[in-house]
Parts: sequence; C-alpha cells; structure tokens
Amino acid sequence: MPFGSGFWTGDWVGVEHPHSFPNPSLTTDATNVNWRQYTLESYVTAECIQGPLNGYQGDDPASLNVGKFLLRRTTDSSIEIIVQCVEPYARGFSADPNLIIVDLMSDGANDDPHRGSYYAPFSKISGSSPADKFTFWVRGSGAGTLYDYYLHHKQPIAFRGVVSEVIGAMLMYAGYTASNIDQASFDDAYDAELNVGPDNNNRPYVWVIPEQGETILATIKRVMQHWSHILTYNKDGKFALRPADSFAEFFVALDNNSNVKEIKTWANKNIVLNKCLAMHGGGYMRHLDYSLAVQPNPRLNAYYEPRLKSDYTQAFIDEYSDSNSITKFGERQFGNRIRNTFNERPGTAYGVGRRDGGPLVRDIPRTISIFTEGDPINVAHYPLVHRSEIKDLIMERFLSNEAQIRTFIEVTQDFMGLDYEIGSVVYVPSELGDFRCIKQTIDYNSLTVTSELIRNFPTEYTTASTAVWAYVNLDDAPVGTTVLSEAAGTMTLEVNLTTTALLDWHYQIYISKDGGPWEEFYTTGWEAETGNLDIQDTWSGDTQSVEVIIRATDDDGGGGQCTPTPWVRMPTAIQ
Amino acid sequence: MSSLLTSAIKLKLRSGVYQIRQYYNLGVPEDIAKTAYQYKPIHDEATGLITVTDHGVMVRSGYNFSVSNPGKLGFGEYKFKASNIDGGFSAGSDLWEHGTTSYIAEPHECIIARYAQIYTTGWTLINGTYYTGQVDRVEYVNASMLEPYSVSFYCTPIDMEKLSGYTWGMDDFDEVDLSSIGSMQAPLPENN
Repeated sequence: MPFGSGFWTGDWVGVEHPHSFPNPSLTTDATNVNWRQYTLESYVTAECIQGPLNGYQGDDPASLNVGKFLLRRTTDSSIEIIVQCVEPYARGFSADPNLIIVDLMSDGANDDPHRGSYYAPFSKISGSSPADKFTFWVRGSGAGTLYDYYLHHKQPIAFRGVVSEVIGAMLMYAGYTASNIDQASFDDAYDAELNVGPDNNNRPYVWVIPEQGETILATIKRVMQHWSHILTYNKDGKFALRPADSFAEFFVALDNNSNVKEIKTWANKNIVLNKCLAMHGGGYMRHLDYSLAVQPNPRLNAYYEPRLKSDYTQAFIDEYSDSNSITKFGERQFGNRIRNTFNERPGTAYGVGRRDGGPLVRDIPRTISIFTEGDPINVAHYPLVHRSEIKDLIMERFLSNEAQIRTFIEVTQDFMGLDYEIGSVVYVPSELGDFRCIKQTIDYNSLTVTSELIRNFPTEYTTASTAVWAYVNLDDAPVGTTVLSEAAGTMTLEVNLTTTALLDWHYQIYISKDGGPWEEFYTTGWEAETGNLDIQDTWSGDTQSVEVIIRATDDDGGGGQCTPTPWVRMPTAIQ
Repeated sequence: MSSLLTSAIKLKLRSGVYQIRQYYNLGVPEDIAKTAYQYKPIHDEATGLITVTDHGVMVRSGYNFSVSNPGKLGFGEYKFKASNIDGGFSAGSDLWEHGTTSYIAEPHECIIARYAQIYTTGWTLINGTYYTGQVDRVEYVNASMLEPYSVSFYCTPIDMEKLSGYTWGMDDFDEVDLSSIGSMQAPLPENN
C-alpha cells in the first residue's frame, strides 16, 4: 500500500505547517489603561511546537533557536521585540490561558519584554469559548506615539508520521524527487510499519523537530532509530528504505545456483546489548509567577528541569533485559550516546504540564529514552516524541536482535551477487535463517560482489492490547513435501503441508520457476484449515526446476495476528 | 525487490561462460550552468577503446542494521584509474571541451557514467552496475614532471550534497505573516 494520496507528489503529510490565524482585534482593557489587549477575532485551532527542546537555555529568547512568535514594531525596524511564547497555560491552571505579553517600555520597572514567556514542546488551542482565543497584551513607551505592529508566527518545521513517511518527507524537503528516491521501498517500509499495530499508538510514529545547525542526514538518522529499517543508497542511485519483515525484501540467494565463490562466517559478540532502561514521560515545563489580577505581567521565576531526575525513581522508567543473554555474555548495557535515545509520541496528544513541577498529567508528550543507568542527563533532550504504548514493542524488537549473538556472513559471488542488495533479507540454508545484507562491495576488476550479511531475527510482538500477537515457528514444524512433475507439456506442482497447526493462520506459498521472479502460488485462508493441506496447481511449459518457499502469516486480523515468520524453503522433488 | 537480475542474465551467469563489457562515459557540460552534457566514451571493451587500467571497487553500506552499531550510510564513492600515456586525459586536451560549444570544463564539473553489460542474445545491461557520479577530482600520476601517464578519477554520486551538506537553518522554519494588527497609539506609561 503506498503512502497517503499525494505524498510523493508534493502534498506532504509529513510537515506540520502553522494553521491560519484570524485577524486580531483590540479588546477593551478595563483593568489597566497602560496595556492594550488584543484577541484573535475568532477561535482558532493551532498546533505549535516551541523550542528549545534541547534543554534549558535560560529565559533569554535570543538563545532560542526554534519556535517563536514575533511581535515586530515596524516603525523602528532595528528593534524587533520577540516573544517566544505561544504555549498557553495548561488548561485548568489559568483563567486566561492563552496569554502573550509584550512590554515595549523601558522604564526600569517592567521593561522585561523577553519575559512573561512560557514555552513547551507542544501546544494546542481549540474550542469555542472566549478562553480558547489567543490573547496578547501590548504596552509601549512614548505616549501618543503611533506604532504599527505586526504579529508573526514563526514555527519550526516539523515532521510527523510513521518513520517511513517522515524520512520520505525530509528527503523531499532536501530536494530529492522520484529520480533519487526508491518510492516502492518506502511504500514497503510503510506497509511494514502499519503491520506493527492496529493504530498509531502501536506504530513507530514520530514527531521530529530538526535542530538548527543539524544536517538533514543527521536528522534522518535520529528518526531511523525508531525502527529497524535499513537506509541505503541503492545501486540505482536512489535512497531506499528496506524493512526487515517484508516479503518484498525477501530473496533466497545462497544455494547451489548462487555462484558462491567464497563464504566466511563469524560471530561478533561486541555488538550484543542485553540491558537498557527505557523511559516514557517527561516534558518541558516552566514555572510562572502569574497574577493576572494584579497586572498582566507574568514572570518567569522558576523552571522545571526537564531532565527527569525527579522522576527517576518513579514509574517512568522500565528496565528491559534478556536474562539468558546476560548469563551468556554478561551484562551489556547501552552506552551513553545520542544514538541511544528512543522517543515516541502519539500523533494526537498535546503537551500539558503542571506548572508546579509535580507529576505530569493528562496526555503529555511521552518520551522513551534509553540511557546508561545512573546518568539520565541526556535523556530528555532529543526532540523526537512519541507515545508510550509503543515502548514495549520497540524494546522487544531491540532485544530480539541485539541481545543475541548475531552471525555475520561474508559471501563472495560473481555478478550473481547483484541479484540482491543492501537491506535485502537473504535466506541462508546452511544457517537455517534469514540474514540482512548490510554492505556490498563490487569489484569491477575481478567481476565479483562481496556481500556482508547479518543475522536477522524475526520479531515477536506481545502487547497488552486486545490483539493477540503470536508467532508460529515453521522451523520447528514438519512442513510437508513438494513435488514437481511434468506430463504432456503440463507442469504440476503439488505442495502437501503436514503441519498440524494450520488453524487460524495464513500460509503464503511462493514459487520461483527456473530462477525467475517469485510469484504467489497459494495463500491459505485462516479459518478453513485444521490439518493437512494439499495444494496443487498446473501450468503449461517446460519448467526445469522450481523453488518453493512458505511462511506463516495472518493478514486478516481474525483470531490472532502475527508478524510473518521467516520463509522456509520446501525441498522439492522432481518426477 | 525480490530479484534484481533477469532470468536470462542469471541463466547466463550460472552457465559459467559469459562475456562482460564495461563501458565508461565522461559527461562534459556545455556551459558553466551545466544545463546539458556532451557524453564522450572513454572506455568501451566492445569496441576496443581501452583506457581504464583499474576499474576499482564500489562500496555501499546500509545504515541502522544494529542499535549498538548502526553502521555507516555508504553512498558508493568510486575511484578508477585510466592510462594517460597518450595525454588524452591531460588538462588542455580536447576531452574537457564540450565540443558543440567551446566551453572547456574543469574536471570537477564533469560526470562519469559507467555500466557493465553481459552478452546473452545481445549486450544486456546488468542491473546494479549503472552508475553516474560527479567527478570530485582527478589525480595525475607522473612518470616525469612533463609527461603524465595515468589519471585517477574520484567520483561521488550526483546530488549527494543535497543531503550530506545541507544544514537546517532558520530559513527552514516557516514564518507566516499572520496579519497586521494595525496602527496603535501607545498608551500612557504605566506610572502616569
């Protein structure tokens, strides 16, 4: 299934633009003649993302690098008053939640235009009551002086969506088009992400705000850590995103017909990781001394350090580990690197924090982070935010591969090695498992291709949701027999499954005739099979050989769901 | 992406007896804007035009295969070496002149297009071998100071700078001129 309509043609879904705003109007200020209060004329729905998100930088807006509301006094263009405030107070904490203050005076008393600000990663104002309007206050020096004011909204570009969408959007933002993006691979990755869970809560859904000074490639790499796709620049000169669990990526490569010249295998325990701390929760809060009843001059007098130390002993942090792996390799934790941060956020929740610094309430932006135990300093600084529900899935996927020793294979072939490429899932019969190609070296002198493969373990999902995630291991099951026969120019392929666990599962069977492309041979229904399954099909021609592969899956959601099992090749007899 | 090679090519490779043809083109821009290129064959094993002495290796690698070691995104930088005994690649040779126009390009303005073919019923492109790269630089290895005899081409995939060289700046942040608030007479100072 491709991306949403129009994604590749420029109508991106990945970029969040500011919504339109209505004209502001002067509102009578009955409480203080020195201030003018303006209110946007009609109700708005605004999603704003504010900065900085990389930690507390003081309350000087000049240090902010993203996200500003600007109020510009144009009669003196050399002066630009900036208020980086958009975030209203958390609902319920203020009678006038949508307040922006601008003090243009320099009288030594309240000449603090940069203060009175409040920011948070997200804000949303919507509704139908007067309290849901944006309101801002202005006062100026020089009685009787006429000023022109313009309200600008400046917000950082932001991308949101599942990983494949966000990376695709950023590549397009960088100027790449279909000539440089393997769109089909992104569509496959998108499909794989949709298979993870029933909705965005269970999918690798990200919201990323690029940081000023960061390269696009670095931002893309930050997004990549949300899921197990492999990003590659393929042989056609296009960016490709290769999902780990997708038939489209499958290729049976290494057999007697693969022209293998040399193969080396080794195991590397150095990349084993078997323990990590994952965190959700957190946020960015400022503590305001806000007394509208006295004068509309809120002051920032404290802030809530978003590094979550105060939450460290609370339920925001979970430990994920693999005891078998720890017994085998010892405890191998994540290091303290930027790489080791996972952040997840829903697409529909908005940041609401308590300004007293207490536990967060409502549907806060949740952050999943992995960090070295005892050093949570770096955990909350990365502006990828997502939802907590997916944390378990990410951690399970992490452990399913990272906690085990992963065999590497280096195989040298002639140009037959070009039949797959980086990111492809390669079935290796001698290892009885799937591998992923992570590197290829084409030697144009010896006309050989050397590929490096790494063991890829299937991911088994469990979740607390109502969906039952399961996994069928075909490696452990007798899968039956396959016979190819020919009579009077008609080829007959008979696949006889003798596994006894057919009920509730789809089985997909694909075949390749004479080394040709894979084609679907049969897909079972989940409800019908209770035991042996005998499938037969015929075609005309003179097929010399056929390869048959099978895997269990379940695409209809009935009864149970599973991620596809590894493909298993069925031995085929020729009669 | 289940199979990148055609059945015909795979059958030929499996036979163990086959011919491979490697081909190189140099694209010379017609002007400083590089709006169009004139392609000039510099190596073609099917026609006896043999200049490349070291076809080199091309390495690509994927990013994110492991959490602890995500790897490196390798774009396929490519280097090959050609003989320059006849001086055909030297600066000032006709090679660097567009031809239709009189524009003489710097090497780094040019591009390299190369591919390999296999002979089945005719010459057939081997999928995955077609490559276009920007010439980053050429390096002459001199037999003497006066007579260069070989030249190395260093190439990177075209347009890579869009990604690797692009840095987010304030220009990437949308600024929307919402509306004019309108003229306003400043109110009296607070203490008056």
